[in-house]
Amino acid sequence: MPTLSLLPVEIVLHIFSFHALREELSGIDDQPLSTCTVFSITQVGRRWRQIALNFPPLWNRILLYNTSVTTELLARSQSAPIVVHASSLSRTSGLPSKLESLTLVLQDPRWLQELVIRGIEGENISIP
Amino acid sequence: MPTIVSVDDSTVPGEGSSRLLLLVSSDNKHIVVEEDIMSRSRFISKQVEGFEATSQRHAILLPFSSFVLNKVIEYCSHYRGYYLLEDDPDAAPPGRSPVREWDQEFLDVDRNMLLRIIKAAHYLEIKSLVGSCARAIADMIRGKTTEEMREILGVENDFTPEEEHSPSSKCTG
Repeated sequence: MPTLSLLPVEIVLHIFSFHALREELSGIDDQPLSTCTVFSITQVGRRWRQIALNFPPLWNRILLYNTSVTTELLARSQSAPIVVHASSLSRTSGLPSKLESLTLVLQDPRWLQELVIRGIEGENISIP
Repeated sequence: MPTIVSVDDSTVPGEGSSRLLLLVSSDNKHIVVEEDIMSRSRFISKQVEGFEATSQRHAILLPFSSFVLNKVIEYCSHYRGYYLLEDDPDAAPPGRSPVREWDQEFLDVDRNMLLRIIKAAHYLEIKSLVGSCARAIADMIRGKTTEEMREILGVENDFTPEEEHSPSSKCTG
C-alpha cells in the first residue's frame, strides 16, 4: 500500500506548499492556530516534521499572536523574505503582546516582503 | 535508470509524425500509445531522443502497473496538443498548478490510487499532473487533525514521547 511517507521529498514539499501560512490565512491573523494545517503537519511523524521544518517558505508569514510564536516562526522561516499582517491592533485584548511581537519582526534584519497593519485608524499606538 | 528491451519494427511501427511507443508496465502489460500523446512526459521525451540517437526503438519498461499507466495515458490524451505552462521545460516554473476542473474530476479517486498516480507522474516527469495530484492530496488533509492525517495517508507516529511533546516541535501559542 503506498503511503505519503514513501513519496520523494520534492513531492511532499509540493503538497505541503499548499498549506504555507500565507496561503492558509486570508489576510487576518486572528484565526486560532489550530485551524492552520501546517502546524498539524509537523506533529504527524518524524519525516514530516523534518521536511516541514526545513522548508522556510511554509513559515514566512509571521504571526503576531505572542512573542514565542513570532520568535519560532522567524526561526523557521530562516532567510526567506517575510510577510506580516498585523490586524485589529486597536481592539484586541492582546495588544501589548502583539506590539511586542511586531517589534521583534521589525528588528529582524531580513527583507520584509510585505507589511500590512490594519485597525489603528484614529488611535495612537506607539511601537516600542 | 529505466530498463529497456529491444523490440522489432513489427511490434512498434515507427513512421510518420505520430509514431507509436511500446510501454511495458510492471505487471507486464504491453501498451501501445502514440508518441505524440506521451510527449508531455519529459522522461518519455528523453527516451525518444535516445532512440533517435541510436536509430533503434525500444519498449520502455515502467515501474508501475498498467492500471496506473492507463490512468496517466488518459490524462496525457486529454491534454494532447494543449499548452500547459508547468510542462514547458523552457518556461519559468509557475510555482504551483492552477485549479483545473477536469483534473479535479479525473483525480476523484481513492487515496491509494492518488498516491500511485503522483508517483508515476513524478517518475515520468509530468509536472502538471504532479501539481494537480499534490493539490488534491493537500485538500485531503486540509483542516484535519494530526491523527486523521496519519490515518488518511498511512503515516505512522514514530515519535518518542519526548519528541512528540518537545516544546520546539510546535508553536504552542
